[in-house]
Amino acid sequence: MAKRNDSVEESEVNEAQVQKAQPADARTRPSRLAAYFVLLFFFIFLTSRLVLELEQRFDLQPFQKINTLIQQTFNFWTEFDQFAVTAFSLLLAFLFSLPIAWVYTITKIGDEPDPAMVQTLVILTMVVAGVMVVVGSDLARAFSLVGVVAAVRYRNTLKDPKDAVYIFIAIAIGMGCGFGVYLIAVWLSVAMTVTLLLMWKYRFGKMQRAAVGAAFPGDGADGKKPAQRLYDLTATASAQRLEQDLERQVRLRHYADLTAGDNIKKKANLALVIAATDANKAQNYIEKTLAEQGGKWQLAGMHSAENKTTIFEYVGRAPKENRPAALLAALQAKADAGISGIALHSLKGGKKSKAGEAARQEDGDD
Amino acid sequence: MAASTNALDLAAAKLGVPINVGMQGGDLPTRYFSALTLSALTAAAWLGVSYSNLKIGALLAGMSGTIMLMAGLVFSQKTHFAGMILILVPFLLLASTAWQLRWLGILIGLLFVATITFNIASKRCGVNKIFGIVSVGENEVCETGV
Repeated sequence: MAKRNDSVEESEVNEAQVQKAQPADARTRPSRLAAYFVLLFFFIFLTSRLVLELEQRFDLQPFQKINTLIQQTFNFWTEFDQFAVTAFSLLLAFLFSLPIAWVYTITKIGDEPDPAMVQTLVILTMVVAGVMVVVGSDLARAFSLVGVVAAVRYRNTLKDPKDAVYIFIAIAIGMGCGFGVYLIAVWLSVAMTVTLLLMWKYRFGKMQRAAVGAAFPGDGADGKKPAQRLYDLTATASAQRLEQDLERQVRLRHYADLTAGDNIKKKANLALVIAATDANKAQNYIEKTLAEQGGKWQLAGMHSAENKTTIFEYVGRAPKENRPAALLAALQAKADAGISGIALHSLKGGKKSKAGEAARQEDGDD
Repeated sequence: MAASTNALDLAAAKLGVPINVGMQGGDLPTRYFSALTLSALTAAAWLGVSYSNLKIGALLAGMSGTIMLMAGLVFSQKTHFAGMILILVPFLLLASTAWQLRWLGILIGLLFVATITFNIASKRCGVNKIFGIVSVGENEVCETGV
């Protein structure tokens, strides 16, 4: 028992040690990375010294090209200007892209701004700046860049078209910083930030629609286009109900197709949808009434709805001598039958749906 | 041999250093490499090899040490000790030679070769202890018998 307690305590201590170790490890990583870069520059320094030493001792004519490259590349003092330009361009690209990323996070309408997109805006600006420094005014490098980009196929589907605009702004700022036209880059950053913020603040697109009203051809008196009115209609609860009814009718028609088989004359031509508050009582009454009224009826479906209501769906054929109104009147005759609503749908008309036909064929195959 | 190993273990244990040198993360192989490199450089200094040649050797050793230290820092290897030794000692040796103190360089080289040999033999290393590095696998602990 004591051993078990010891092991439990040990595991708790280990867990505590792990929890304690994780943040410490995370803290040490940046310093390790800094040390890595220091060592990297030291390695480059050693390499350049080695090449110099070897050049003095041996004939490096076969390795002249690599020798020259190493000497040029690793000689910081002669290439310091280039290094400074690159560092300055990248720094400005970073600083100029920050407002764009910030504006993106606050103006993103709808869902939460994607952190990946925000980071992309900053990084892309810096990358483009770096690429432009590399390309410079060299035509051959510019053509190479086109080839490389075509090969890499950097393509991504952006959900919001405005995201693409942000990407273009980032590219433009990056290009400005890369080519050393910092003034243009900073004005681009400022102007775009202000424009985007103003458009967001005054809801530019929505404001324009409201102000212009019915001035556009094809608009109604309410200033709405037919498509807009349809959209408004479908957004309402009544439209949802309409959709529900249509769906039910299509489903029951399909059911009637399936149950009739090839005998079109026996196919159900009516659908009876009954809402009941007391399912048992209502079902007994409905089936008794339907039998009295004549015709062939079949329970196609039964499901619960809101307010503890049960929906019965019957499909069938009413006798020719009985009108549907008489059927409805008979069903509504008894007040305490537990029926709260009745709807009668016609299943007549229309061609057989291809889907129904296919389903029937499938059933036949089975 | 066993008696000498036990004596080494006891000596290292007295210093308060636990067994922390093993094959994990390339710790032991890089120690072998650094011991061989430093032995070669010390021998070259002893044999009176020219300063220029010694410099080339020291630069190569320093470059390999830099790579080992970089691997230890970022890529989670356990090659810190070998890296540091290979950066530090060749340049101390080179500096001693440049200041006309070749014998001092040789002494430094011998001292570090002895240290590395001691570490390899006892499987204990103070530098590993300072950095909290343990490169001993589960199967390796039993082999020392301490």
